[in-house]
Amino acid sequence: MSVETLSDSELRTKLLEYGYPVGPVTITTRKILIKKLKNLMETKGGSGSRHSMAARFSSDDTDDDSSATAKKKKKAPLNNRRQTLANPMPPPVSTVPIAAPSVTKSPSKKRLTRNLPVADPPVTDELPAIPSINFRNSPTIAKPERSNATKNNRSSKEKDDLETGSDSDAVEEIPKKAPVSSKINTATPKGQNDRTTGLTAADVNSPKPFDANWRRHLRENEESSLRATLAAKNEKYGVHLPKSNLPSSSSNTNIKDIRIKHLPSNLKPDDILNNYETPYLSEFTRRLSVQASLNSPTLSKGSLKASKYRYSNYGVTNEETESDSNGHFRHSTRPILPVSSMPYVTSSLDKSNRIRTEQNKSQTATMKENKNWPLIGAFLLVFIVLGILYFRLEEKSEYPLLPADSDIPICSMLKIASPYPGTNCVPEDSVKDTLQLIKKLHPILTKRAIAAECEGSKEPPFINSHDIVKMFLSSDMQETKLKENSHMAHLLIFKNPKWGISLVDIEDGNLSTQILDDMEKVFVSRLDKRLGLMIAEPNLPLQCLVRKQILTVVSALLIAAFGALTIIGSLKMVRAYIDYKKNSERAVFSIVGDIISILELHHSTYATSSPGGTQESYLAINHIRDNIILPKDRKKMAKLWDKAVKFLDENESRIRREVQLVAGEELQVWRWLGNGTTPQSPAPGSPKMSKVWQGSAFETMDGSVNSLNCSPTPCLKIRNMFDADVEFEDDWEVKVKDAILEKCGEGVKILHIKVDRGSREGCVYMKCMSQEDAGKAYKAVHGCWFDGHLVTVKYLRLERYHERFPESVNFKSPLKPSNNKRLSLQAHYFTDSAEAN
Amino acid sequence: MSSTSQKHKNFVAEPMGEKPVTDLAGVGEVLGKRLESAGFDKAYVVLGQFLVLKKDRELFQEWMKDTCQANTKQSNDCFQCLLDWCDEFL
Repeated sequence: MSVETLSDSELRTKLLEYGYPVGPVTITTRKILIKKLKNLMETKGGSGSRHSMAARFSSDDTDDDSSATAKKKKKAPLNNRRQTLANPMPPPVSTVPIAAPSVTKSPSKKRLTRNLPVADPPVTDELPAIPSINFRNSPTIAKPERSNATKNNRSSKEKDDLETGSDSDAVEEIPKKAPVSSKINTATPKGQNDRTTGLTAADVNSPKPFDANWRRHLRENEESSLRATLAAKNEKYGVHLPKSNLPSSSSNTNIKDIRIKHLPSNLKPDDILNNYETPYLSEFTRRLSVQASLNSPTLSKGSLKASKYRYSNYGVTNEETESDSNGHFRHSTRPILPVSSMPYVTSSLDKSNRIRTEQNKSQTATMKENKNWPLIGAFLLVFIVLGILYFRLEEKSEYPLLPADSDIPICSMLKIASPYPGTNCVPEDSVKDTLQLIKKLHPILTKRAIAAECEGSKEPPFINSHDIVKMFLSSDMQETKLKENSHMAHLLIFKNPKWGISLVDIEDGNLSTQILDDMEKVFVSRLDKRLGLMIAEPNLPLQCLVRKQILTVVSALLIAAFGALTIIGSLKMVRAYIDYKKNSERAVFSIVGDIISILELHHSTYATSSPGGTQESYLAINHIRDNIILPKDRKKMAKLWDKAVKFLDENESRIRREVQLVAGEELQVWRWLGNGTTPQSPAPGSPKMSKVWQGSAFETMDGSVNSLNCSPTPCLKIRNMFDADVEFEDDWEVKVKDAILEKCGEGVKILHIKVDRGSREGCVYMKCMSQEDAGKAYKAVHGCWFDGHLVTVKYLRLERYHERFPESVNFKSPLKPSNNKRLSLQAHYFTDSAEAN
Repeated sequence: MSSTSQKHKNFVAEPMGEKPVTDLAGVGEVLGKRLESAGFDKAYVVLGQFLVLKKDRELFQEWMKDTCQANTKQSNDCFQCLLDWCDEFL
């Protein structure tokens, strides 16, 4: 049933049936309510809502009690859909012509059919069927049935029967009663027939699953309606309802029900077919009939029986078809008394209904399962994996020996020119024994192999023929036979390498055995009694395997670690050696430099101070050494000193070594020969002096026209810092940078300096940490002379700077000069101090 | 309700009058637009829906979700806002 197709009011009704407090159904709320309804239908049984429903319906019913038929109508509104779909419902009183023909008079029967709204449109088609149903109810029917619309009987206890959920009940009564009711039945058929028809049709057609909840609701509804009707009846007939309650009926709830319809009053003629009975009713009916001895005692009986039958299966032949006003249909088929003429139809109907309900149930079940399928799938997967693992283990542990396809050359079957038993074939009669032997041997071999492999036992992993004979010698096995078998076994084993057994040549119990791959060798070693059997690669137990694996891994790791250590060690040694070499070389050069400078100095002082020649122009080597090297280092530096001396001897042309008398002692001396230029201009020629600040050209302090009050950006462009054409030193860039950094001083945080090597103007770009820093740098550098150029500074926009030097964005820490010597400032200070002085 | 948003307080503080739907707690620009396109341009229209749904939290949240894809928090805020407003002024 598609909830979506419900009209607004139907939707509301449905929700109310579930006890859901629902508001108006509007365009905007409809969707949500539909969803809600679906939810309710799926999850919750209607149980919670029962009471409210009952109350609701009962009130409705009471209002309408005045006419029994009216009640039915009342219910109808609840099930709008059903009613609308079903054939037009005539008021209960009205007799439907269709029904009449089908129903013969069935005096004995009473029918309580409760016609509730019939939901399904197909009803019309099914109409023909209806009569038959009715007939079955009345076995004795010869006459047109009458349908009573008066009562709706519903047995609340009949939940089981409600499977289909159909509301309409058709109660058949016992033939006995027929005579009594016949009078009544004679009356013309009424609208109830229609209802029944509708119901049957609905039953047949109702494919939808009905929830138990629905059924319960229905039940409740019916109960309430019954009460109402009862009340009405009582008024009419003067029957007391309380009396009607049967204490005996265990199945009945406390509700006092009434049997309503069968009364002639309601129905004139047609009641028989259409009586509605609830289970309660039936019980009460009985009472009623006894007490009031109303026109339809038969009815009461019938209903009683029906109820009993439902609960206790007394074998009563009543059939009941029930249809709920809610649009659920239920048929309950019961064993029919032979008397009843039409049981078959109903029974078939019932069956079909049951089947349907069962299908529905199974459907719901499968749906539930569907929700769980991922879980179930996971479980299955786990089990499958476990199973596979298990079987794998099984396979492994399975006895690998002697598979069916073993290669067993049997002498009689082999077409070999010269069959030699034991050489290239096995006589048929000894095959079995041989295989037996091998089978026995295999576990022993395995055990030995494992023992040798894992436990380090001293026992050799192999068995030779002698051992075999010793092992298996028994009363029923002679030695010769055994030997022969063992020879056969050798052959078979050789032919079947897949058994895992190898033939080995034992060298005086030496474990390092050699696997024989040639039958010839087998014979040879057998003759030498050196032939043995062993399993080269046994299936080791897990523990052993793990241990072995760990051992291998650990040993491999150890080896690898050792290798790595050696490599690293040698590398380190090499590096240390290289370092040492470099250091010593540097030390040698520094000594050489010192020596040269000392000699030079001595020579110049000699030339200037004592032109008269009073002082020697040479220096004793030992004296120089003692000047340069501190006493404590002399021993340690002896080697270096020797190297330096050697270097000077070989590579220094300005120094000559000679022997002179110094203070009366002959000593090795160095004489400075020198070159022509050095003595004249030692200082000004120094290249270091070229990159120095040489004073400022104009004022850049605060307030000066040459500097801005505040620096607009943190980036500067400095021009005329160098002349690209003239720069030849390798590190002139560094020197330029250092010069700027030193000039600016430590107070200025400069993040990035870039020397534009290609610029003709000698441009240097720099970025400071802040604009204030840039301002300071500007004042420090702008207008200064540097290396003979007048340096000028301009501000650069930060974006432009970043655009040009994208990498500068990442420089966050202030730069420092590459050395602490403040070389570029020496001249400056000098001039400063000179000026100051 | 441990704490309520400023928007919630503002809305609950006074009669809603002609306030736009976006004044509701939990309804921002996006949800407001969606609600407007569904015809709920004023807060009182949403209130109407809220009342028609009988102040049922579940239904209202479901409705919010349907109409404007509100998430649970948004719809909850809106619901709480209207509920509090009703407690105050209805």
